[in-house]
Amino acid sequence: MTRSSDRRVEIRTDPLLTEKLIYSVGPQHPSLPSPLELRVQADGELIERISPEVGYMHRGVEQLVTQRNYAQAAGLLSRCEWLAGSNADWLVADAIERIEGIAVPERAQWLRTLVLELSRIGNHLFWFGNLGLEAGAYTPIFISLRERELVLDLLEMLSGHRHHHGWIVPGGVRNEPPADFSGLLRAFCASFALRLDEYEDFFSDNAIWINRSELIGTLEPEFAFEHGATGPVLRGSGIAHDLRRDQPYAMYGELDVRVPTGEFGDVLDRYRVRFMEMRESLRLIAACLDNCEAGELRNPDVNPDYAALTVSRGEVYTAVESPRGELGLTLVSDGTNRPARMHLRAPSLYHLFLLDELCRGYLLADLFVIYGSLDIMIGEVDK
Amino acid sequence: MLPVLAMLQQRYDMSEARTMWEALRAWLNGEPLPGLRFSPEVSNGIMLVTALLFIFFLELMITIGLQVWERRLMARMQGRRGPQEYGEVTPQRYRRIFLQVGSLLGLPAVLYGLQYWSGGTADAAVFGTWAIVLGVLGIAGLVSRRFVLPALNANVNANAGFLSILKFKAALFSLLAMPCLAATGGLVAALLLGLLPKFSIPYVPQLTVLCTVLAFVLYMTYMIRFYWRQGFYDTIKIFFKEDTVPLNADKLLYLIAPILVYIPALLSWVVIPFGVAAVDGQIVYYMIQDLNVGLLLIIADFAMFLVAVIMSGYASNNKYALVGAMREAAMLLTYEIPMLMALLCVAIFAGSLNLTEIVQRQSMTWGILPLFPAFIIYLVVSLAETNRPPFDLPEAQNELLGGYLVEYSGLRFALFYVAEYSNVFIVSAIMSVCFLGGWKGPMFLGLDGLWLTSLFWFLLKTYAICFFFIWARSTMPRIRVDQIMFFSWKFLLPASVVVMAATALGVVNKHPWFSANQLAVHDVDVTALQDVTQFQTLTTAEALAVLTVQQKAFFWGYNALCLFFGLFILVMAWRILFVKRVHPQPRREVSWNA
Amino acid sequence: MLPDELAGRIREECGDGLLLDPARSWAILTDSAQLLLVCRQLKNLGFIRALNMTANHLGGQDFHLYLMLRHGTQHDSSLTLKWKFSLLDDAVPETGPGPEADPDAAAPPAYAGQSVHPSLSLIWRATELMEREIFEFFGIPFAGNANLTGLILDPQLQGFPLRRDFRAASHENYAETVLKERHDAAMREVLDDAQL
Repeated sequence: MTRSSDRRVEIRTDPLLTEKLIYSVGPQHPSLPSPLELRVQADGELIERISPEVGYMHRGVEQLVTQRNYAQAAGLLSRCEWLAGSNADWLVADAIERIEGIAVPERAQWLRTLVLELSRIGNHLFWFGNLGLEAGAYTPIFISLRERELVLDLLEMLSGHRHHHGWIVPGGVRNEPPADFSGLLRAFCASFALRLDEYEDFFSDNAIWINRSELIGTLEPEFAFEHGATGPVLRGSGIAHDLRRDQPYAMYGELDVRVPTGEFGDVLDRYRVRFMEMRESLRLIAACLDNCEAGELRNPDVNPDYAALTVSRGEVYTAVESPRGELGLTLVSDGTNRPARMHLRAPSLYHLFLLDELCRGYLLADLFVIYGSLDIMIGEVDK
Repeated sequence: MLPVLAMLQQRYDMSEARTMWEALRAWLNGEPLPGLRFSPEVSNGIMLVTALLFIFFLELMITIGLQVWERRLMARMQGRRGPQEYGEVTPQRYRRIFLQVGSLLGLPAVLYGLQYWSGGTADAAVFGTWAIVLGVLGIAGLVSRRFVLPALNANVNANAGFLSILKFKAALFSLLAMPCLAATGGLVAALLLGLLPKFSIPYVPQLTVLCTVLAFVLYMTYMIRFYWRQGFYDTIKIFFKEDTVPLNADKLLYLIAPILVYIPALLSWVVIPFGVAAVDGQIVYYMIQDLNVGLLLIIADFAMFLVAVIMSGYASNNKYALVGAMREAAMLLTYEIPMLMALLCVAIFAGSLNLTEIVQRQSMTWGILPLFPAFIIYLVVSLAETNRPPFDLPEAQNELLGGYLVEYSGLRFALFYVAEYSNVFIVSAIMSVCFLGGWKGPMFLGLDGLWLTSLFWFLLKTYAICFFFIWARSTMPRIRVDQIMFFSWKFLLPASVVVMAATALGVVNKHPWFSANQLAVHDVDVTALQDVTQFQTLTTAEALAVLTVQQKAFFWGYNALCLFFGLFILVMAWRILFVKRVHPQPRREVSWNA
Repeated sequence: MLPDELAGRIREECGDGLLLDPARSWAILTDSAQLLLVCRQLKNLGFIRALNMTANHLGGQDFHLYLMLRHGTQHDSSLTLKWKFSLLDDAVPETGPGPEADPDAAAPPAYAGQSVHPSLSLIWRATELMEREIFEFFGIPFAGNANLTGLILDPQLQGFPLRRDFRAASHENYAETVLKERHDAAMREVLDDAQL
């Protein structure tokens, strides 16, 4: 198997000049969990061109945050990426800390790392169930949501919210974890490692799934580089780039993060990379739990009232390795308690526009599997 | 186990058999009520209406039951609480239900036991089978309650729904066990004491049948009350939904397509033999019409399905519907050839296309023994034939939004759906008739209960196949359309040709299993002065003694190959299902970069 | 954070036009006319990934633009480029791409007196999407972007929402006017289709 031997079909020229079939997939379609329209031009079932039409869920977040204080802005941004909302909280907190030069206590950093990894697991679980549905399997969504409930319960226990936690605040974290939190999290990690084996036994080695994913939607590393792919999509193509390892933030510098990479950049590689990331997250969570026992939760110099926080003038770009790729935040502050400009770098936007290249020459049924393997969140694309 | 084996081979004389429909005709043509005599036209009309209503309601009941069962079963397989539980289904309530059902089933065992051990005139074989069935159920229940349930309770991650189902099973088994164990204990005591006088209880066989029927009815009542209610509500609701026709649709085709889908699905029910009964010493089949070309009729019905689906896909004026219909066309054309080949093997084996004849030829050996590869091929093909996952691409919900169904609503949609589930049942019935011996099995209720036991065995086998369909649905992702084509044309088609050749070879070489253990005996009829070939049914051992050396060699060689093939499949299944794999163990290079 | 060697090379190649901040993660382009030149040199130095590009309206006709770059092989090296851009007149082309600009031409187009910004999409392909986003929200036209159309917003929306002077005037009667009009047009189309 080589890179060039992917299963693309040559698109034939049409001597009869018949009319092309244009499917309008979406904005209401069971395989697209958020509103999005894909204009698919096809020859029968063979895809020739895809143009994504986004904007069905535009809420004007970038405009709204300039009229709100930083606490509200963090809440709004986490609504752009609701499956792993803590990433947006971390971005806002980190941007403020960088501008103000605030130091974060070590224990708070460990706890932040823990929450980010836990929400990564939650997000990947949802992705797994959704990918199963796109491939036409009905069971993965049920078994993965069963475990995701436990993740959400743990996060709710920590922060009081299931999705938009708001637990990471400038200078540290908001409150003390409950006494039984670490014990329950350890129990979850132990059982979830077994559950992951169960998923892989059930789905990864299934011959039909291998046939549906192997050498489907291959993404060349150069192309991925050029078009702004990040995260598991880039790693699936064989490029070992991970912000947690290469530009360590929070406590990742002390954790020795291992980065899985694929070989062919196809659906199967992206799938396996995400599964190995879940295992890696389990390992990191265990390391975080060992280190977050005692210490300060929050820098006492920071105003504890997040809503009244004013930030001095400055500009900063900060990025986090979210489950989907590099989620970046450009913050321009003008010295008030409202951001002058906030811009979210959404990894899904770039992955979505890879679809045209990835799907060309494959069948209509492959479109949904490829779409599922990219793990696209329309909330961040439309903002 | 001896009585069970004896009953497996028990055969009833079917030479005088007729269908229940012929019995009804005879009854109507005679004097059904005192002083009432119908003209032939009126009696024919009555029979037609009755037949239509009968098939319609039978199909409706079975499809609703199948759908409800599928939803609940898939929920159990996926470890979640299923839908549509009415009322508080507490363990106490389960216990009450199964105490009643278990008592009803246990009573005949007690009576039989008393009669047998006191030296009365009980049928030893019937008692033995009855006692073994109940004993196995009881022991399994006790084991599961004592050992399996605590082990599962220890699993903290299993949710409540999953656990309650296991409790349900344990309750079922243990409460069935109670009367059985009581009966056995009493019998042992009586035997030890030697105190029992000889006596005979009247009407025990009749009472057994009555108890079984009552237990079944009771059980079904509870099932309907707790689980099936939603299915009936849904059915009634869908009758009153608006019937929409899309703009620019080809209206005529659009409106008649669901009817054309439904009619073949209804027609196939005419020839399925559900069972057999003894009425006044005469054997009567449960079926509408004992057609000589029953198998052919069912194959033709499946072909009709394709026409109607293409009609609906074209007429809907929808791209998804059109693509779905074209997928269906390509898939059915691909899969009908292996299906025909597999069923031709059955026809060669049984020497008939008549479904009752096919069942009768499996008295000695079930069709699955000689035709195991054909069975596997048909099992795969039937999934595609009925559009069930993993071959559901014509209606792939998350690609084509339901394919050819996408524009339909209300009753027309229901017709498609009922036809689909009806096809599932029909295909399973065909498999149980052609390969699993139809209604053959240990007739543990004797000749009086023949009508019940035959129905029981037929439905048991059919629903076992339906279970496989549901199991496949909850396990497999969907196959892509080109992969289906490759699989069929490059593997199934050559394989089915080879299998058919092997079947023909088996018949030629007088492999006893291939001719249903019927060997030709040449008999010289002195008066006519010509050879008359008579057929004699033998057990396998007897037949082997008659064969020549070459034929014996073929017999053992073929069986060894079959065994090898079966073991291969078993080993593969074992590797897939039970071998514990350690992850991460990627099949391809997905490497860590430290 | 750039390593010393890379920072030194950037200073060497790009000269005085580029001010690296002491923390070496930001660079300010003092002379906007040299944008394309600097960008191409940065790409030659190995910054082959453009991760993010965004703008900030300062009021009036002035904008700050930010471009976030990352090194292709040294993943820990990233650089944010910032420069100023002014629209000199309000004449913004309505749709479609601007004049074709070839970055490999001898001299970069001097845009100081014009209201179009040179597109970076021929240097970094990924910036095409970012430029579309900026065009849509700020109304900065990019000459050379092959596909400069709206991405997210309603095509009938007037104005550029992230400008400081934006007033959502056209949205006051949005449901009554715009949506109703569009719905009526769609229905008319369907009905015409049906009568065929």
